[in-house]
Amino acid sequence: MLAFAARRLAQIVPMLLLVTVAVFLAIQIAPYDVVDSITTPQMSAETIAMWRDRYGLDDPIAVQYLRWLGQVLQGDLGYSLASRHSIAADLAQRLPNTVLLVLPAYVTALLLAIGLGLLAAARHQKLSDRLIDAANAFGLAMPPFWFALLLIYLFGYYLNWFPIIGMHAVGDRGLGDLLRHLVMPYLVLTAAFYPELARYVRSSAITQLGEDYVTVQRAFGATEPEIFRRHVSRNVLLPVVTQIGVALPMLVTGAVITETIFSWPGVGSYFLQAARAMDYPVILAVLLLSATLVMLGNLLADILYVVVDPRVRLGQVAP
Amino acid sequence: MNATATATATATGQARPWAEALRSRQGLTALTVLALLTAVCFAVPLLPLDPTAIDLTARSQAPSARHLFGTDDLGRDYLARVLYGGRVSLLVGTLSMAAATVIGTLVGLVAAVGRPWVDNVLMRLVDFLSSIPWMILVIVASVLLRPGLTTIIIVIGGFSWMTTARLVRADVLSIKERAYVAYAGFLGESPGLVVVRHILPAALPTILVAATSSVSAAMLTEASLSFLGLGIQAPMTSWGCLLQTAQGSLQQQPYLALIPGLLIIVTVMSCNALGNTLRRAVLREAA
Repeated sequence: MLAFAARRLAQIVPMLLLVTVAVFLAIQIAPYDVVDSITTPQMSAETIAMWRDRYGLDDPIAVQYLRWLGQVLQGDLGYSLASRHSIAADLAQRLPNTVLLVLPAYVTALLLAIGLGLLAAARHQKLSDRLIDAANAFGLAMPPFWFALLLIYLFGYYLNWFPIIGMHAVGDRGLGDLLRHLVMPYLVLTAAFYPELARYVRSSAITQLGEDYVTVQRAFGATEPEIFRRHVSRNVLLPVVTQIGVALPMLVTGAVITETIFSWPGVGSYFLQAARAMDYPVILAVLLLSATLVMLGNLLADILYVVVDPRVRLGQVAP
Repeated sequence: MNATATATATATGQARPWAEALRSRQGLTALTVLALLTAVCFAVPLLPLDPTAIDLTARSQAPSARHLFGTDDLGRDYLARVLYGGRVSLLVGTLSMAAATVIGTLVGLVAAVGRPWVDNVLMRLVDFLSSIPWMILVIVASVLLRPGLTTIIIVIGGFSWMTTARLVRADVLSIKERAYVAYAGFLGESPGLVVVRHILPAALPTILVAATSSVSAAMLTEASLSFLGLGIQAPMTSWGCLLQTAQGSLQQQPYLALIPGLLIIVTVMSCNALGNTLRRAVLREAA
């Protein structure tokens, strides 16, 4: 297992380099840069040229890239061109906020999906299944930000129960206040994660119910709850466990839109702001972080698969 | 699966998934809804409605007989804006789907019938593009190319073909092994002709199913990007843009947010339902 993980990790490094090279090139080809986004009409041409020079934007692409790469290899993500803040410090501050939002939402969505998905499969074609399935179809088609607007109107304006913006009220660092700010973005994200997971659990449980081993169990007189608890749920949950690995990168980038709507100070809104300003060190840092998590997540998924299912050997999962 | 049986099934019934989908109630409803929405949105220039006429004396009005959906903060008729916005949303959905389907089919096909190294290079490209979180990729791309109608179609089409490519490749790999394909090669038909005449038609159902689900994905992405201000730009509008503007007057006019959102949901649900019926029809045929 260790050798497998090491081999896969070795494959990840060139892939990540490729990601950064591609994005670096793309940013260079773009018709404007960060200086264009911070200049004002009052600035003289000399001032603008000075800014370009100071950011090293006049150097050849290769020089700029190697300079950036050299810093990153020393663990220095550099500074935001727009705010001059240290990117590592900004990320360290914002990452926990995103995790605080995404993790509970994902866990809730996953548990709900497992529960309701299995229930729907058990009551296949009956009323409760139809309702759950219809809700899934609706959820899959619903833009999460539209749901956010409805919640803001209902709970923020009409009932005035929860604050609609930010993480803390001014001067209040208490837990209660934080939770009140968390409610709406948490609901939106849960609704965004849930439908796909639920559809997956439901359809694989329905497939499992058609398998021979279920027929055999029925023939031997096992009750439906027994079949579900001891056989179907296990086979359905196997692939769901590996989903957790695939979901890993969402801890960083799973909430770009939700964070933006609620002005939640997380990585997603930070990234969006940087992308709008062409602040390339920030864009590259977030990309590097999320691409790393995607690849680590895939590795984790493969390893989890072997851990939960002894029939699978590592060689077969990923060559 | 018996190779000859499949061969005759595909040879006689390439249009079957559509016909079958139309016979099912779900498929028929979905298709009717989509046709109606498209017809209304694209017939709107024939109606006496102007989406850009500003009337400052009639700002932010509630729905009335004169303005069925009310007016926005500049006094523009909201019904007209919703219909014109729908045109853009449907257009972006369809064109991005077409782009993604063409690229995905080509890549999948070439990877499956090409030499092993071609397959390897193309599939690594697919892995590479899939290794960046989708939202991040699309945001960076649309900022780089400067937001707008063309950009959004290029970005969505150019970055959402990977699933189609994987599906087509897998399908073609199995079609390649069928007896009639081998026979055509044995008879001396050129490889290009074999692909066009025998392999591509057999892969058509898979392509069709992938295409319907990419319409809904494209429409949702367009809505998200426009909502973030990175998609369609004013004065043009789309359902996503309308939701962005509606956010500003949410407290006074919540229905401005309600309407475009419901239309997105109805459209995407219909596309998904159509895709599901097609997929079921294809699976039944393969069985």
